Amino acid sequence: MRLLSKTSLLILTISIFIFFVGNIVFFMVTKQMINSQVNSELNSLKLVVVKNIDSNPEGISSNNISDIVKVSPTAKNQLIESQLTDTVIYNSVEKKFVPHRKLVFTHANAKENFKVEIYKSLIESDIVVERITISSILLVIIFVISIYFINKFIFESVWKDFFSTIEKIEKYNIHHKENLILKKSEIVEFDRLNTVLLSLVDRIKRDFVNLKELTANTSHEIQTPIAIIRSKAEILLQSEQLSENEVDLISSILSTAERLSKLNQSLLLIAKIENDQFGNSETIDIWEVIEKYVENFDILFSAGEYAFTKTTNSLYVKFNPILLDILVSNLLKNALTHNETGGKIIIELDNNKLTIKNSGAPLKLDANDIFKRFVKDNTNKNNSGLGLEIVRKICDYYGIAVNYSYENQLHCFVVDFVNVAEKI
Amino acid sequence: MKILLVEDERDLANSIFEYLVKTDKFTCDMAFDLKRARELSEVFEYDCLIVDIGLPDGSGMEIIKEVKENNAKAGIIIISAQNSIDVRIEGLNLGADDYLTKPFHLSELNARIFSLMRRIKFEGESSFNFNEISLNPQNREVRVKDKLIDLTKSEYDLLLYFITNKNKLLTKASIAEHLCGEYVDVLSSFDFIYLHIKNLRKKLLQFECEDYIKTVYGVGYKFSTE
Repeated sequence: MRLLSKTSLLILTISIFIFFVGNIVFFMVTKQMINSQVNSELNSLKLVVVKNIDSNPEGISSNNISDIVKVSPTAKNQLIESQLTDTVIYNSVEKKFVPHRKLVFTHANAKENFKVEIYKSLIESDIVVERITISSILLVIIFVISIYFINKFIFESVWKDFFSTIEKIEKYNIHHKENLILKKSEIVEFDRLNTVLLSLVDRIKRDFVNLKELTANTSHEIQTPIAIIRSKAEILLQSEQLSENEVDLISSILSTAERLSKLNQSLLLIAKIENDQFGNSETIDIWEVIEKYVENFDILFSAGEYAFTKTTNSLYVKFNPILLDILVSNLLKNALTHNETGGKIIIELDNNKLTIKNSGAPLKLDANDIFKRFVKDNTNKNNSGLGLEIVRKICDYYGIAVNYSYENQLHCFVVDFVNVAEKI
Repeated sequence: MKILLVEDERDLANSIFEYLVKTDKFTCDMAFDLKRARELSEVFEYDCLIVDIGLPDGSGMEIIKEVKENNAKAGIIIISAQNSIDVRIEGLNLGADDYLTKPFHLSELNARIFSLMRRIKFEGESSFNFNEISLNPQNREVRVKDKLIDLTKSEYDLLLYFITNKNKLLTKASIAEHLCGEYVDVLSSFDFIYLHIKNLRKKLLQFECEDYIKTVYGVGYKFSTE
C-alpha cells in the first residue's frame, strides 16, 4: 500500500469515526436540551393552570382550557405528583400523528380533585434537530473530502524530497563512475537521511573500489611469479638427465602453473571489464568475428568431428572489438568444451540474436547457476569455470541479455544484441 | 646472432637467457634496467632486442625509440604483462616487430625470434634448410630431398615450430597455443595435437625423411636431431 493511500485511509477512517461518535453525542445533547426546555415550559404552564384552577373553579368545570390542557375531575384518593411522558396525538387538520410531551398531575382545590394533562407539541423542536443533523452530516462530508485533498497536497509537498532521493538511489549504479548527488532538503529529517545515505554510499563505493583494485593488483602481481615458475619448469624440462618420472613431475608442475596463470588472466579480464578499462565501441559485424574464430578453431572443430552448421547473416553492433572477440570466442569455446565427439555445433545469427547450440548430456547443475563463477559441471582440469562468467560480465556491461536453455539434447545460448544493434 | 634481453625480473631473464643461449647461434646480453640497456645498446649492435615495458627506471618504450633511431635494422620484440591494445599499438608504432604477453612459453618466444630474424636477414625471400628438409616461409612450401610435400597450414606451422625449437621438449600446451593462438585456454584436452603430429609424421616419412619427431609420453613432443 502506498504511503499516501495508507495515511489518507487512516485519516479518513479516524475522522469518520470521530464525526460519527460526535454527531451521535451532539444529537443526544441537542435532544436533551430541547427536552429540558420543553419540560421547564410545561412546568411553568403547570403553575399557570394551578393558579387558574384555584382562582376560577368554574372555568375548570368547562373541562378544557385549550387543546393542549385537559383538566378533568378525579377521585380524591388518586394523587399524581408530576409525570412527564412522550406521546403522540392525532392531528385531524394535518392528518398525522404529531409527537407531544405530556405532563400529568393532580391538583386539589377546596372542593374537588382535578387531574391535569398538559400537552406540548414537539414538532418544531424535531424539525430543528433534523435540520441540525442533516447540516452536520453535510459538513462532515465536505470536511472529509477536503481533508483528503489537503492531505494529498501536504503529502506531496512534504515528501517531495524523499521521493526524489528514492528515485536517485534507484537509478544509481555503484559500478558506474559518476557520484551520487542528493539535493539539500528543507526538512531536517530528510536532509539527515540524505547525509546518511551519501556517507553510506560513499563508504560502500570506497570498499568496492578497494576490493576491485585489490583483485586487479593481486592478479597482476601474481602474473610475474607464475611466469617465473613456468619458465623455470620449462628450462628444467629440457634437461638431458631426467628420468621418465621426473619429466612427469615437472610437466605436472608446468601444466599446473599454466592453469594458474590462465585462471589469473581470466580474473584480470573480469576486473578490467568491471573497471571499464576497455576503450571505445566501434561498429562491427558479428558475423566477421564468428568467421574469424571458426577459422581459428578449425583445427579443433575438425579434431572433434563435429557436425557444424551456421547461417550467414550479418549483424552490425556497436561494441568494443576486444570484448566482442572475447564474447564470441568464449561461447564457441564453451560449445566445443562441453560437446561430445561427433556432436553438433549450430551457430545462428538472426533477429539481432546470436544463438550457439551444441549437443551434450544435460547439465548436472542448476541452469540458473551456469553463468556463476567457478560453477563447473565436470572436473575438467583445463576448465577455469570463468568463461561463462566473463560472457555474462560483458553482456551486463552492455546491458544485453544472455540466456541458457536445454532443448532437444542441445545446450543453447542466446545473446540478444538488440540494445547495441546498428542499422546499416 | 646477437640478442639484448631487457627484463627487470632477474629470475625470468635468466630463464629466457638460458633457453636462448642453449638454442644454437644466439649470443645474448642481459640488462635489468633502462640504464644498463642504454649502455649496452650504445656499445654493441644487436640483431634483436627483447624488451619488457615496465622497467624500474622507466618505460621500455624509450629504449625501443632510441635503438630504432640508431639501428633501424634491429628486430624488436616486446614482452609485457600488460595485455592492453594501447600498449601494443604504441610499441608497434615505435617500430617494434612483435608483441608477446607474459606469461609465455619460452619455445614460443624462440619461434618468434627465429621468424623475425629470418624476415629481417633474408627479407623472407630465401628458404632455409634443415638437413633434408627445406622450408620457404614466403610461400610456405616444404621440400624433403627437393621433393615438394603438400602440408596443411597447421602442419606447416607445426613443422616450423619444431625446427625452430629443435632438441627441445615441447609440451602439448605450448604446441596447442602456438597453433590456435592465445584464446585457446579452455580446451578440455590437447588430444587434437596428436592427430596433426601423426599426419605430419606420416607425410614426412612418405618422402623418406628421417623420423625426427619423438613422443615424450604424457608430456609432449621433441624434434630430435641427435
